[in-house]
Amino acid sequence: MNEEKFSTVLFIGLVFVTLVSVGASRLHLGSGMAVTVALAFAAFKAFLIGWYFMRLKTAGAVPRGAVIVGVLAVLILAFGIFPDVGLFNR
Amino acid sequence: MLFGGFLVSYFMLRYGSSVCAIGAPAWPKEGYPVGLALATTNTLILISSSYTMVRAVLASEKHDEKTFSRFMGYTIFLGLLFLCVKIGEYALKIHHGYFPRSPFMEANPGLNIFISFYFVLTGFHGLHVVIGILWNWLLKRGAPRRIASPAFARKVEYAGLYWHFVDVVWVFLFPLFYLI
Repeated sequence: MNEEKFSTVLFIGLVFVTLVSVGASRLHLGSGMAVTVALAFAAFKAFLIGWYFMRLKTAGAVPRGAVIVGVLAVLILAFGIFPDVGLFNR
Repeated sequence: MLFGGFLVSYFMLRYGSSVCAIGAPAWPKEGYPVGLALATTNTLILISSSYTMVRAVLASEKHDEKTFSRFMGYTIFLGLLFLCVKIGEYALKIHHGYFPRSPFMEANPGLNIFISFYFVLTGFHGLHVVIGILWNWLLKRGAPRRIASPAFARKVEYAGLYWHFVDVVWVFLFPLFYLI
């Protein structure tokens, strides 16, 4: 499959995942689960965009490293506050 | 990191406390008119623009000026459409009284926190979209003279990386403001 066709398939997949995530948000899953599901869909879409549309899959060490450092910094910040928030104890 | 810091702060405040300092509910409840239809439309618009950007990058690598200009034109149009929908959503929010000192906000003072995050984050994101549109427009304008140059394809790729980053930020703003 050439790059044009692959990007078209990926685009259709991203639209599908977006619509599924909107549908899942209407299921009244409860606060903690709703957040987890919504962010899981978002992370999956961000991965697809980053890995294929931004070509991180084939990128060199520097662009890939820059993205990894940024993502890690946000994750450390996020997971560092989870105990304070008590998200999973609600 | 700007968006990461803001998003994590929002997350901490939202799930750290359900009420504000004066004890009023700080976050929207079910039935709150959050504009899900408009936000879903905007999400689909941005994803479409990421796709057209990929096609523009591929065309620039093949030095195909006609295809590049067509897909870059689509990308610019979709970016402008995103901004139009966002402005419409802002207008609806203001119409419903979601702004400081409106009767609605006086009655629901805790929602000021949510509304502040909403306008700051979507506003910053909108600013990034405007910058991306201008960058793309400059590339489209220069394409007839520079499409044959390998350096031009590299510049288009950098613009593409920026545009996809704007898309990724929205991918996280969308669930945090509209789905949860």
